[in-house]
Amino acid sequence: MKLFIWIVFVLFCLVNVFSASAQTIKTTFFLETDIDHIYLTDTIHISKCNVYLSNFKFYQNDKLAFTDTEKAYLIDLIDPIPLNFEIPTQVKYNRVVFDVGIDSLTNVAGILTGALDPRNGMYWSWQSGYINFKIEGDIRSKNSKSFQYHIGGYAAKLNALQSKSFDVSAGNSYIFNFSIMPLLTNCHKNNLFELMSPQLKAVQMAKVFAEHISCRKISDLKNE
Amino acid sequence: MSRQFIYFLILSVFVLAFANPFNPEFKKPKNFPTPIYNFKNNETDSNKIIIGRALFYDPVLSKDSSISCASCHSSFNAFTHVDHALSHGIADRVGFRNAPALMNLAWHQNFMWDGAINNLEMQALAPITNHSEMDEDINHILWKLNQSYFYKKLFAQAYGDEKITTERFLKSITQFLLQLISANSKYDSVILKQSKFSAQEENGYVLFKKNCSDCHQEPLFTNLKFEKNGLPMEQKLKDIGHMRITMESKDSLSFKVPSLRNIAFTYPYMHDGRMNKLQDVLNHYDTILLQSQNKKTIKIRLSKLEKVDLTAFLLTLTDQHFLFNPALSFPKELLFKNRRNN
Repeated sequence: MKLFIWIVFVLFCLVNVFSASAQTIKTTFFLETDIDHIYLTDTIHISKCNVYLSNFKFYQNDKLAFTDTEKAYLIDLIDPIPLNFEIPTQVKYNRVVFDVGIDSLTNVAGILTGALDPRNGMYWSWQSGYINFKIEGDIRSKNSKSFQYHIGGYAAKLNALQSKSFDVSAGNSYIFNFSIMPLLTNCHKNNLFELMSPQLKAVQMAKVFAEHISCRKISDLKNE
Repeated sequence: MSRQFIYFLILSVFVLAFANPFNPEFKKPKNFPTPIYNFKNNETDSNKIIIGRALFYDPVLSKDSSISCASCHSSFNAFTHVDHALSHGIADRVGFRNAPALMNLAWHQNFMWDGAINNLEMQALAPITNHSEMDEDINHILWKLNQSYFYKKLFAQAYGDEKITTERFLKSITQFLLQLISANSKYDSVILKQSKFSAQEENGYVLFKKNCSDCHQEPLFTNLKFEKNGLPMEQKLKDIGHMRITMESKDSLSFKVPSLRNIAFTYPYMHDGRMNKLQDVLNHYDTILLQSQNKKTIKIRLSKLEKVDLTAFLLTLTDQHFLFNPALSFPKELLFKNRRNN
């Protein structure tokens, strides 16, 4: 009888330990853009702005601490939904790293599902490959003009994948800010209104797009 | 107890050595290398092959339900469009290139004359969405198929439930494409020591190995690479070939080397179908200097008689079993029944 009580006690302790270790903490990244601001202050109207963010990894200094199970997220930047990561409480990290676009291995992997399903409109069909991001819209001035940018490419020199890294800490929430205007200014200045295939120019555009992604902590905002 | 365990071990070693867990329906020809296609994510299955075959022959994949894959890839012509330099899609829109023959696709890494497609599973999307081919949209096709009692039943049989997704749709087509294996020609039987070449064919084989096999490597009769074959750019199409994909000038006018298997049935020849006769092709190579990727200059000069012998050898690449295989041809039993049930 005594033994039985002991066994129950040990089991009880074990269950407690395991359930504690399985606890996670939610880290949220809110997403915002300057699209509304552009619309209010300029003649540019953006009708579509989709981007893939993929391979989310969390690092403690240079050591990989947590890898997200989801391969990629397809984000509609006109009406973005926050990204949530459930990370076990005991995992310590101070940096998040992710890709803007889809990496080359995924690009050659054949048919994939979920965010990577070709029916989402972010896959070129005449030439295999994902569109890393897509911006479409028009300029509503005297000389009205529409623009379409489908940016991607994964092979060799035409690889448009960009990597981003931000300092973050557990238990906090952050905002990723996508500033689209610098890219549009750059393109329109160069009379570039349509670009829809992998090429060197697309790689340049991907760089400009990724450069203008920034990250800030929500609590920082409150203090301002 | 331990003896039983040893028996079990021996048995499992035998099972692992001989059974092929990923592709029970895929038979690798004896004289072929290991296929490139990754069967792990798409194990061959007879029910899925049936779906792929039905889809391949069903015009439901085109915008106005007028053409199917088989319209430009007919089984009795080694799955190309015979007598058409450039194929036409819906509403008589003429395409950009000569429809390639579909054979031994499990051994290819990339597809199309310019290598635009990087995985067999993604290939079907290209003709489906191309404006001058089927001009359809994947979402609309899935909507159509999900309305069809016939397809819902087939997908339920193969995948456990009747949901038709992009993944299931493309994997099923791939299953059928993987079945298009041509390895039963006279050439193959000679290689497997089941028959012999005639003296003329034998001489043609020697000439072939000397002059052609750099690019048209045995046993697939293609090195699966992109090569310049000396054809000048066609002025109307202005097709730059592989450079369209890589954007590198060194790839200008290089095209994927086509297989020579069933060559008697795949005319017209070249990426734009500009040559109607095998004789034209041989005469072309007889007059130019070729440079292979490794900068080796190849000069093919053949006498009239040698051309005859070479042609005799090329005809041994005809595979009657493949061309007239009822398991690969129009599935009457499936699609005609479909009309009544729908």
